[in-house]
Amino acid sequence: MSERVCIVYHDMITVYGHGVSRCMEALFANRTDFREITRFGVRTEPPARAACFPAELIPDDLENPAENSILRLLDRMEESGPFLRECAAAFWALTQGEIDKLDNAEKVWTAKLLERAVAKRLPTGIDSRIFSASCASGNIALARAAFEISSGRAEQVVVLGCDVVSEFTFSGFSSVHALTPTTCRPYDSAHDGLLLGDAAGVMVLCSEKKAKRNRWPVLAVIEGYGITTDAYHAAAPDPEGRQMARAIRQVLDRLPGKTVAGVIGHGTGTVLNDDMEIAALNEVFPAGLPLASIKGGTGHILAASGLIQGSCAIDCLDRGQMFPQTSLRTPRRGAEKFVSDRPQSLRGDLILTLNAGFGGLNAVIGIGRY
Amino acid sequence: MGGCGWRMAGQAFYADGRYRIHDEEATFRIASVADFYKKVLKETPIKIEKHEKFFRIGEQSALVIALALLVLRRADLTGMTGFGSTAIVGCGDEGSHTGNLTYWRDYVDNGRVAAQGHLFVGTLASTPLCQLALVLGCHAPVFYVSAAAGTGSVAAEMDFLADRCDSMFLVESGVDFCRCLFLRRDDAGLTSREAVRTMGDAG
Repeated sequence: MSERVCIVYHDMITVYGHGVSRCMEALFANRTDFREITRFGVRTEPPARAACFPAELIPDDLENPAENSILRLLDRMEESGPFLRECAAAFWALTQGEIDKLDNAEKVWTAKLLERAVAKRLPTGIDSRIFSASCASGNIALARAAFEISSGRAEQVVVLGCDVVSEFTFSGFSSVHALTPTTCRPYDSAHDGLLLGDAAGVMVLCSEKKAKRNRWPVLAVIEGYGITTDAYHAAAPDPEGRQMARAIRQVLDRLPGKTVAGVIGHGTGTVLNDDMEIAALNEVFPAGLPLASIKGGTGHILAASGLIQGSCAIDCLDRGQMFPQTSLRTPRRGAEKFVSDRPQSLRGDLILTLNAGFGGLNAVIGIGRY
Repeated sequence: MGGCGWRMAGQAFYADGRYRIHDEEATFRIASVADFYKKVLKETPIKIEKHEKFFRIGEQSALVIALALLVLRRADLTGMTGFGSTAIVGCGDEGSHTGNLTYWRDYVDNGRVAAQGHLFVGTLASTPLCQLALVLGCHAPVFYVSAAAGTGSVAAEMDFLADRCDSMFLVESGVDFCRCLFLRRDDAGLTSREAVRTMGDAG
């Protein structure tokens, strides 16, 4: 990358509430807030749970939870400073957007509906794009935004991501037998599936010159990215994690001399995903290093994963610690050198955050200290 | 950004039950997408890595794969030893709308109790692209982007991928249409913006 890519603003809404600190305090406290799904009728016994937005923030009976969560993020961003109005581009990470409006009269893709609903709040003439690459959407949107800055095409880009628990996604993940009837335990020997979660995240990237000009504190920098495709199976990752390992190496190869302090994995809690990541990480980091997944707490937040993980990486770099793996009891074989139920010290320059999506899509972002 | 050269290696179109390969005058009617998919797969000289049966992948993915294989039949593949470094970018506004409706109707028709898992896989805008990656063994980036219309929108994605692939498919597909272009990196070739303008002329 030529122009340095600075992160100058970030925010999120998750099950833990509004703000990065709420999420991080909960993850460091090993706290989960999964609750019974009431947003739509669920016919499971025991009743299915998910990491939905707190009811006092986004009530379960509120229409358009995705739109409302994004608008809340934009409200706070405007209160915090002129981060939005000078953005040349808005890059979205979405899979379904406002999926409850699937039967809309205009016959428009529901991700597009969400983009349109929020467009009035974005600067006029902004270059708005939706990046959709299943659960790797977040990191791909971040990578694209980083390229926009590093190549000098734009000075400032806002990246937005959102996915919410809906009957559509719940029934879908149920139909592919990905949901756990118990608790989501990423990288645990007893991991048996995922729980879904609501999340919305936002990040503002800008050039170093712009950050200095505006005297904005730089929270972290995007050091690099790697993107690969398994071409292994439509819905299952390559169990050997070869292309995930290659995506990680794509980041490292462009950063000679930099060391990786830790990894925030995709870690959905499914056997297929977690074992693929463990294989890839053992291949690239045979000595081990701190690893944790947010999804034991936030649930699987689909397209929002990349943004929320990125924000968590910034916080972890500040603390010099990786958060403990939520709900971990006994590490999965091969993960012993990586995960812990306690905070782990971080020694190194950057944190890698990993996304892996249906179709074998891998995207890795390297986030470093400024 | 001008150093990222591209050369159009081929393109094909499908709409209203007919397909056409660029620079050929004739258009061909297909009996059904299923037959078209099976016929193209059977006759292609390109090495197929893996492929799914038609009923599992659906019409949109089948059309993308069939058109891509038709494009490759006519494209200059000199020097290419495979498609490991081929990227695939989907574009347009359609997203996964058709796949979403198909899945949801199946779920509702089954009393909102269960749906067929392979239909849920089709509810992602990237799925037809991943299916094509499976067929050809593409390991470079694959993603879908919905951007405002204009030459700059696709050209920006080509620039993004310029140093991460040696060729790429650009795919636009919907419920009853599909357009597939194959581009190869060529430092002496056109800039991404020039290449996109060429695509417009050809279309």
